[in-house]
Amino acid sequence: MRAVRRALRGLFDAPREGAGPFERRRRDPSPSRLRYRLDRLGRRGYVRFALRRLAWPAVAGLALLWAWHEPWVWARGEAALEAARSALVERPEFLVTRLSVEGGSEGLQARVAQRVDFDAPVSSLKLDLRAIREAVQTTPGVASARVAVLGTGVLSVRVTQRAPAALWRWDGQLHLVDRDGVVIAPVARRTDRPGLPLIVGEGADRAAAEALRLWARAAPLHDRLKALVRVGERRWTLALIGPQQVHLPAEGAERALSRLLALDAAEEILEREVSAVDLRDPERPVLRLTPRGASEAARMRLVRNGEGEDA
Amino acid sequence: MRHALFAAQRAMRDQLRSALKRGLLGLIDIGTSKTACVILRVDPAKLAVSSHEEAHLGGFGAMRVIGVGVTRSRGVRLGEIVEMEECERAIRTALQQAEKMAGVRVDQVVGAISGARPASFGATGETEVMTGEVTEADVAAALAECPEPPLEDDREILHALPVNFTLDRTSFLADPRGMAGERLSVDMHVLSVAGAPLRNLARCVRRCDLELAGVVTAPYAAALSSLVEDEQELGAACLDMGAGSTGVSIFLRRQLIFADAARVGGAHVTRDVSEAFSIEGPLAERIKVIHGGVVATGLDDRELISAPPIGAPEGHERHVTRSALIGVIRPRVEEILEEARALLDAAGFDHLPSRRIVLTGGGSQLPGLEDVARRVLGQRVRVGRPIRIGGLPQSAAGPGFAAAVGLAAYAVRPHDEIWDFEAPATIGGRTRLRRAVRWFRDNW
Repeated sequence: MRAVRRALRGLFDAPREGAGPFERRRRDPSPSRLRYRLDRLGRRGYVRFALRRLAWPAVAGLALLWAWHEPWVWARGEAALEAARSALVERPEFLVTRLSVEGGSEGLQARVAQRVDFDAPVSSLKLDLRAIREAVQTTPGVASARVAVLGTGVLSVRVTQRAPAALWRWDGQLHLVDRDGVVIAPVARRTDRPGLPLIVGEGADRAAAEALRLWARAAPLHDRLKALVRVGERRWTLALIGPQQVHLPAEGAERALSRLLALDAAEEILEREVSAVDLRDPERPVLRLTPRGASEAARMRLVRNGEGEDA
Repeated sequence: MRHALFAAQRAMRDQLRSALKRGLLGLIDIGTSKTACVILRVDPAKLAVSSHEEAHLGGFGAMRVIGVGVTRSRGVRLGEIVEMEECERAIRTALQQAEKMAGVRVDQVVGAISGARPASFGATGETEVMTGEVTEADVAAALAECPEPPLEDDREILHALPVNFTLDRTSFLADPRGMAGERLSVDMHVLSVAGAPLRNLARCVRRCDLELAGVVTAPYAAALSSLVEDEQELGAACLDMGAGSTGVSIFLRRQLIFADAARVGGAHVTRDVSEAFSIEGPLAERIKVIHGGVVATGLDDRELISAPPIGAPEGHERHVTRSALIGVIRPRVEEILEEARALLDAAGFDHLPSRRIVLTGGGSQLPGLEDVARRVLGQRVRVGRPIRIGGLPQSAAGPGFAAAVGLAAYAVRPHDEIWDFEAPATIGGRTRLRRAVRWFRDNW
C-alpha cells in the first residue's frame, strides 16, 4: 500500500517550475482539503468496517461474476486445466508400455490382442479398462476376462476360454458353440469335431443347454444320432441315420426321450421299418412306417385275412 | 450580567460534555511558531470517580494522550490568525498527524488562543439568599448581579470565573452551595478578548470539519499545566513565553485572577538576530536555539558561530562570536521580561502573599534566562515544565507544550464559569420546556 502511494506520488508530483532538476524540493506536508476530508471519513467506524470487512469480498465477487460471463476467461481456464491434466497424465509413472494376455489358446490370445487394439506407450489414465474388458469379452471364444494395469507398466488381460460343447449348423455354416450356445469359432467340416453333438436350425444355439442334456440322455443312440434339429424354435427333433426322425415334445422332452429309449430297449422299434417316431402326444407315441414297411404291413394284413394267398 | 451573552459558550460546553462522554477529545494550540494538536482518550467512568477522590490530580489520571501532531504555524502573527487559509492548513496537518498516530477520529476540539489582547476585569455581585440556604439559583442570581465589563470595540468574554464567594461576613469560600446565610456576594474574574481573532479561530476550526468545544486563553492553560498545586493555592504568576506573545497569568486560591499578554515574544528575538547579523530567518532561529543565551562569559568570545550573510556566494564563510549573539538576544529578552513586569505591576502582583513566578513556554528554554529574570522580576523565579500526562511523547513534553497540556487539564476539569450556572430567569413555560429538553439530553 505504501509503495503504491509512493509510486503515485512520484507520478503526480512532477517537479514544479522554479525547482532545478538537482534541487531537492521539500514537499508541503499539509494535506489538501479533499484528502483531509477523505482521511477523516475513512476513520469513521462504519466506513472502516466497510473497507476492511466488505470491500475485498465485494471486489472478489464482482471479479468472479465478470469472469463467469467472459468466454475468453472460460477458454483460458479450460486450456489451463487441460494443460495441467495432460501434464499429470503424461507422467512416466502412469505409462503403460506392454500388453500381456494370459489364459486360453494361442489363437485366442492373438485374437484378443488384436481386438484390444493397444498401441504401445499410453498413459494408464487414458485407458478405458471397462471398454477393453468389454472388447475382450465380446471376442468369440472368451468366457470371461480380467483386465488390470500392473504397476510395472503392463496391461494385463487374463482370459478364460469358452469350452466347445457342440456344433451348430446355421445358414449352411458350421459353428463351434459352448454350452450356453455362444459361438466360439467357425468350423470347416463336421469331421473336424466328431465327438461333439451337432445342433441344427434357427434358435438351436439359444437352446444349446437343453440339447446337451438331451445328448447326454441319448447316449445309447450316439452311434446313430446325426443331429438335433430345432423345429420352430420350440421343440427338438432327433435326426437319426436311416433316415429316421424322432419328434420330441416342446415340454418334457427328456421324459419322452427316456420313453423312446425304453421302447427301443424293449421293442427295438428303431430297428424296424419306421421312418419317424412322434412322441409329442404323451398318451400314445405315433410311428410312421417307411414306404417299404407300409407295403409289407399291408401285405401281411392281407395274408392274415387270407386274401393275400390269391396274389 | 446577561446570560444571553453566553449562548456560544454554552454550546461549546455541551460539545465538551458530549466529547467527554464519548471519551475522545482533541486539543489544538495555534501558536505563532507551531501548531500542536493533541488527542486525548478520557475514561468517563474514571473521571467521575476521580472527581471526588483525587481532586488534587485535576483529572490527569483519567486521561491518556493517544496522538500528537506538531507542525510549523503559518499565517499566525502575535498569536492571532492573519491568514485563514494557511492557518487552516496547519491545523489540518497537525490534526491529521495526530489522528494517524491515534488511529481514531476526533470531532470536538478545545482551542487555545494566545494573543487577542486579553483583558481582565473584576466584578462583584450581591444578592439575598432566597431560602436560608444557598442554592445554585442563588449563586446564579449573584452572578447575574455582576456588572458587565465594558465591551466596547468588538470584545467578547472568554472566561467569566467566580473566584470568591462571600456569605454574610465569611469570605474566601470556594463553593457556598448548601451553606446557611443571608447575603451572598460573589467576586468574578471576567476575561475578555478581541472578538475578531476569536471568531477567526472558531471559523478556522469549523472549516477543518471540527466542532469547537471550548476556547481557553493560552496563559491560563499554560499556568494550569506549569504551576504546581501549592503555587496555584498560595498565589503565583506564570509567564508563558511564546513566539508571538508573552502571556501573563496570576493564580490565587486555585483561581485565575488575572491574565494578560504582552505582544512581544521569541519571534522578535529571532528577528533581532536575523537583522543584526543579516542572516536568513530560519538560520537565525537555528542559531538562537542552538547557541543562544542571555549571560555571556569570557569563553563565549572565542566560540565562533558560522553565519553566512543573506545573498552571500556559495562557500562564503562568516563567523560571529557567541558573545555578540548574546549581546543581541539579551536586550530583547530583558524587554520581554520588563513588559511582563509592567503587566504584573499593573495587576498588583506585588500585593500577593506569595510572589512566585514560573517561566514556561518555548522561550523559557533559553539558557541563563532564570538569572536575567531574577534581576528583572524578583528572586522567586523558576523555569517550569508542564505536568506529565500519560502517553505524552518526550518530544511533546517540553515547556513549549505548556499551553497544549494545560488545555487537557482545563478540558477534563473545567472551572465553573458563569455559563455553567442556570440562568436565574423568571421561570416561564419556555424555560421549563428548555429545562426538560436539557434534562433529557443530559441523561439520555
